[in-house]
Amino acid sequence: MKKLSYLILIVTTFLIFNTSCKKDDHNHSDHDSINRVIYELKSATDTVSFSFNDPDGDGGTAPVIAGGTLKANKNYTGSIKLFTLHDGQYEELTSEILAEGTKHQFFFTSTVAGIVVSYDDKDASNNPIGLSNKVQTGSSGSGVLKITLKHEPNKSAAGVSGGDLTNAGGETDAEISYPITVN
Amino acid sequence: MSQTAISQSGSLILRAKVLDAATNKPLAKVSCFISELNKTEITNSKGEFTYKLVSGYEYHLSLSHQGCEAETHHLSIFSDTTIVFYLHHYHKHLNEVKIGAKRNPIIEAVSQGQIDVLAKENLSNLLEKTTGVRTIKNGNSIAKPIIQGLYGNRLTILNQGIAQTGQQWGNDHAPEIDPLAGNRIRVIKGVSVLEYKGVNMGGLISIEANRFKDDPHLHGKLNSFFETNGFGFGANVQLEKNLPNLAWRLTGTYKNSGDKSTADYYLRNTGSREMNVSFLAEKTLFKDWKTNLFLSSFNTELGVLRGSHVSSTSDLNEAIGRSQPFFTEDEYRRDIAPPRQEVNHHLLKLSSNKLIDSSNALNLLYAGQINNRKEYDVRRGGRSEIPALFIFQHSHFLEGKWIKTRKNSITKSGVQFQYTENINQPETGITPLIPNYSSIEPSLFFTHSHNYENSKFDLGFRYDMQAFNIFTTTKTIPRENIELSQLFHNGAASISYLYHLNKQTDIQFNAGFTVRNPAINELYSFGLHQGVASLEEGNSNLKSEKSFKTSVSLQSTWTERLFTEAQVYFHNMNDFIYLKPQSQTRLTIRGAYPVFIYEQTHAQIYGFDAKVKYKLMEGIDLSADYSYLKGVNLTEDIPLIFMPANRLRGELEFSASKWGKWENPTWAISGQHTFRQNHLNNDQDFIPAPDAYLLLGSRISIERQIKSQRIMAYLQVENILNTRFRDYLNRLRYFSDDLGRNLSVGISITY
Repeated sequence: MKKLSYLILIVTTFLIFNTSCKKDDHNHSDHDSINRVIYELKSATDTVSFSFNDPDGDGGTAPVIAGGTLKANKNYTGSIKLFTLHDGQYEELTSEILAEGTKHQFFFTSTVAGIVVSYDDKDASNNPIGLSNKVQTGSSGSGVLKITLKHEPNKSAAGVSGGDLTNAGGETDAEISYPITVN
Repeated sequence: MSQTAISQSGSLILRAKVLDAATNKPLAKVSCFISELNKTEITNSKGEFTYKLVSGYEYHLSLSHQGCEAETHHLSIFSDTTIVFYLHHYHKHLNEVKIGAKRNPIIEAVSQGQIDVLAKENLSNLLEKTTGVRTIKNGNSIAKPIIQGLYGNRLTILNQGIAQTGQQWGNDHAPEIDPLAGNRIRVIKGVSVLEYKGVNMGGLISIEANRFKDDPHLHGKLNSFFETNGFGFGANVQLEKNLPNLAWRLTGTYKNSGDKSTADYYLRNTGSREMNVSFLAEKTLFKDWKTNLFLSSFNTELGVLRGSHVSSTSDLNEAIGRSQPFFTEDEYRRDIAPPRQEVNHHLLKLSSNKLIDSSNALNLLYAGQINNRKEYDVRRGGRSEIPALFIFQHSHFLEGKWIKTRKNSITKSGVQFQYTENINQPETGITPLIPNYSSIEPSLFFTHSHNYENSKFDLGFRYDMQAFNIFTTTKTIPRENIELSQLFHNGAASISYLYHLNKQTDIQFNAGFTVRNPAINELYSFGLHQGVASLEEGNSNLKSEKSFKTSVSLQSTWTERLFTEAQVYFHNMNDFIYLKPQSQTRLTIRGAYPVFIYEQTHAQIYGFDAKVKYKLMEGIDLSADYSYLKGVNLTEDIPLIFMPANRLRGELEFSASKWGKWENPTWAISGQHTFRQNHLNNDQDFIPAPDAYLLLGSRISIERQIKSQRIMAYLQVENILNTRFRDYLNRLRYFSDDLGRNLSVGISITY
């Protein structure tokens, strides 16, 4: 009987060890997800704000993207703010991106002719980040302004610090196409 | 081995005869070494040799012969004795394909000798050396076996007789088993698969340990290797002792490798570490209950190619078609950084056998498994060291089996029960791809095998029930917890008939019907599969998959020099579950993603495997095999994706029995031509299937007996020509070339 009780002990110890884990509370919230992006453009005379909102994250209901109208041949100062939705509250992620400035960079492309976006900030290695930027508009037209946030791009690769995405590598953290009109 | 006592005296004579186990013919030139006497005798043309021994002393006799695996026997004799040894001489030539009446249906195996030489490989890559087994990979260290086009949820892997549970749903999840903890790996097809848990449509893979040697002394084995590609090294130690009341065996494995390289550049972050330990003990407890305890712990850390980590379709498009992947570095590195995986798998198995009488045996078994999987991604805000996926699973399996043996038949019937619980650890901070769930699976099975004079008939049934309890959240906000339950009934039936057409040829028919219920990922996965930059959605309305399979195989031993084997198979699968690309894309913060939803179709997979072995002359062996396979989605009239391309392999082996003091010097050269997967439409993948490629390899091995130790050393080169290639079944083909030349050396010492 001693042997039998020993066997039972081994098995029950294993069972207890296995089942003693907590049941999950299922309240998962994505720390990594970006649920809101606001791109604000200011000129001497007006302020335009583009937004991206996706409270339920990937999948589910599609995000709502709102662009806007810029004036032709104007200079704008742009700033980008990012937020995550945590327990029903929007928390700003912008400082997290700024703190890891060397590991992040925004890239800008537009289908509207004449739009030039340049960087207005630097990371610790003197390379651009793009949270602050300058937008110069040309003649009238409509299309999209696409902003791409890359995580761990190779900023020293050819063309990358000048805003060319081709050799950047890294992962895309955000990629938003804002519909815009210039007139 | 059979013993006959002849007379009684103090100093005595051992007369031994060595026969070929397959043909019963005497084997000449077998070296017979007794370590206690440090003396070798060679068998004569009648296969005989004699030794003078002392009564009551213990001796260790090693037999080695060209083309055989060396074996050691423990002897303690008290009188003049004649012993007949049967060496499995033919088996190695036939790659362990068993021939003759006692053969089980279509069994192929990787033998101990092959495992020794391939110690550096993981389970799947090792199995790929067998005809008809291929691998789906995510880089070299993450590989899953595929048999006749079936893998993952459709292919069960047995570790010491226990169906492996774990996170087997992902193509980037490799089976958590150390092949070096076993002595032999078999691919089982036919009726006997019905005895095991799991869905065994394509057959099952079984990692098995040898029975204990009949020897009370401490014996063991050390196997170590070094390879140039990745500067990998590793060692495996085995110790065993068979005392009258307790037999035990302890094994340990350690492997370590850095960045692997292609023909032209290093693959950054493809290193791996592995540390495993296992313990097997056998003891007779109570009356007649022979009890076995097996414990094993498998622990690994694997790097994933840094340049293959993409998180949007734009990233994927930028990464595809580059001459070198992003993040390629000029220098070799050993460290592993995110993206990486950490996996632990522990198994406890307790089984007891009781012989009720000469024809009835009872077997009771408990097995518990723990699987801990952590996957780390490149994350923002210093979260790369927090796993992005962290799943803990534990499962418990109970079985009662009754085996009835009659003169010409064996009947097995059993009851099984399995409980599985899968828990996502909340600290990831990411919505999990797979929900939390528990599952209860009771099963029944019955198999019967009957031997007739010229044939063998097998028949089997199996019933499984699976009840899922799923804990998940709603897909819209506010997120609410929901609990769902689903119940499935599965049945399987199978028959096989083997007929000895004549002395040379066996023909075998197999037919089976299997119902497989959808697995958890097919029902409920939801989220981003960043590895392939797609959104994957489960479908809770899926029905069970019903498949019918049939195969015919023909094995012929034409002469003692020529052996052929061919198998033709056909699988018809109704409600075949697969990931179907959807026409619409879904917009996310990272741009638009293609959406894949699990759907069902009518699919067929058919093909054949053929193999030939030919002994050109004594010491020169030629072997070749060819595999052909086609998979079709009949409803949509398109090819099935992820089906292996056809492959042709050949090997020429030169061997001798002696070379000075060395034994069994062997030199082999091999070639493997993998054809292009042409059975694929252009719109079914991001890039066209890679081109066909030819890989050449070579291997030299040699053995030697030094006192009581047997030493085997080898030198091996893979991809001799440093060919640049990409393989269709390797996901990294989107990003990088496959492995370049690899030179490996190894030594194994048995004592």
